[in-house]
Amino acid sequence: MASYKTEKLVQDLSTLPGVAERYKCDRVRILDEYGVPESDRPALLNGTPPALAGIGLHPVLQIHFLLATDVNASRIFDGVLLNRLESE
Amino acid sequence: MGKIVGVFGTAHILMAPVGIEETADKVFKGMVEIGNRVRQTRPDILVVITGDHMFNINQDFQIPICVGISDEWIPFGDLNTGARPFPGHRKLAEAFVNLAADHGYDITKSEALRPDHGVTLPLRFISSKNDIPVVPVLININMTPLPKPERFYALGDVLKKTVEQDLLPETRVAVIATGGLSHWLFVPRMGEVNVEWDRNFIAKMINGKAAELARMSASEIVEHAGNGGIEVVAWLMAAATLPGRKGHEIYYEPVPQWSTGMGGIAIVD
Repeated sequence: MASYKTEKLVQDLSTLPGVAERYKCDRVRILDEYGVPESDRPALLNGTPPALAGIGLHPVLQIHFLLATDVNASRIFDGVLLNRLESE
Repeated sequence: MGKIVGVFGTAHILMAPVGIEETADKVFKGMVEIGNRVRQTRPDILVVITGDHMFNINQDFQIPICVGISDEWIPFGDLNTGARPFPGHRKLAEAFVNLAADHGYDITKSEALRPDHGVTLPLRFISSKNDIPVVPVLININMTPLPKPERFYALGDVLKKTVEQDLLPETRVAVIATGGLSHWLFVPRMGEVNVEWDRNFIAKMINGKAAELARMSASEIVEHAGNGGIEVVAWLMAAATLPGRKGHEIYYEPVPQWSTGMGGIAIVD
């Protein structure tokens, strides 16, 4: 299982305003700020699902991480279908 | 005394329909019909039971069950489901937690939870004006110990008793369970949909046999329906508020492109 400090960072990426933006600007600084252990850092910097799974990051938090850091990932929930509710 | 006027179960995600437009349209129309059927019961209050997605219950505080008691909710707005506020119902929420305590359940109350797509996506189909008070019930399906189906079925009976004992006469309450059906999330089996299991689950639910389903163990559900499929505990809790009542399947589509068996049912008093 990933370190609690690693999971704390991932939780905050999607729930605390500003953390995701700061992470995108200076990832190492934020990793230092949260005390993420060295053993977990390569996976976060890599950012792919296999890497995140490799450190035992909680599956739901893997989703959080991808949605917070990968624009392409967030597009799968593009709201196209929900937008039909406004017009129907 | 108040009255449970309907129990509904429905999936709580909608992803991009690219490449599966016909299937996605069926799911969408199914969710629209769920919304229609909920409104037809003329509910005064909605109780929405769902697994939290670690926006509220996370590694910081690993709360097994959380009931929202606030007078108003500000959603997260995740997955493009919108962040418009909607009202809560403090009286019902607190009465439920108090009666549950008498029955041996220690439930966490929250003033500040932020409803995620587990609440807000179905609500988009049910209440476009966001004016029906909602009591959110969050079940921790992401951390051990996993929720015990039988225990949550029994908690549904407590909810039923609360509605009958603690609300003004003729208050109409609809119970909506969201989540499921089978899905594996970011584990090796991601992308699988257990169609047979889903269809059996729906069949038993609409034939008034939720109590039988509740005898499954959590690990059995996870084995056959995935680490996401354990969300169906919410459906079992909801079904216990109209025990033995039969209903109808509104939609079911296996959607491996969304990694989920997408289903919805209605059980109306």
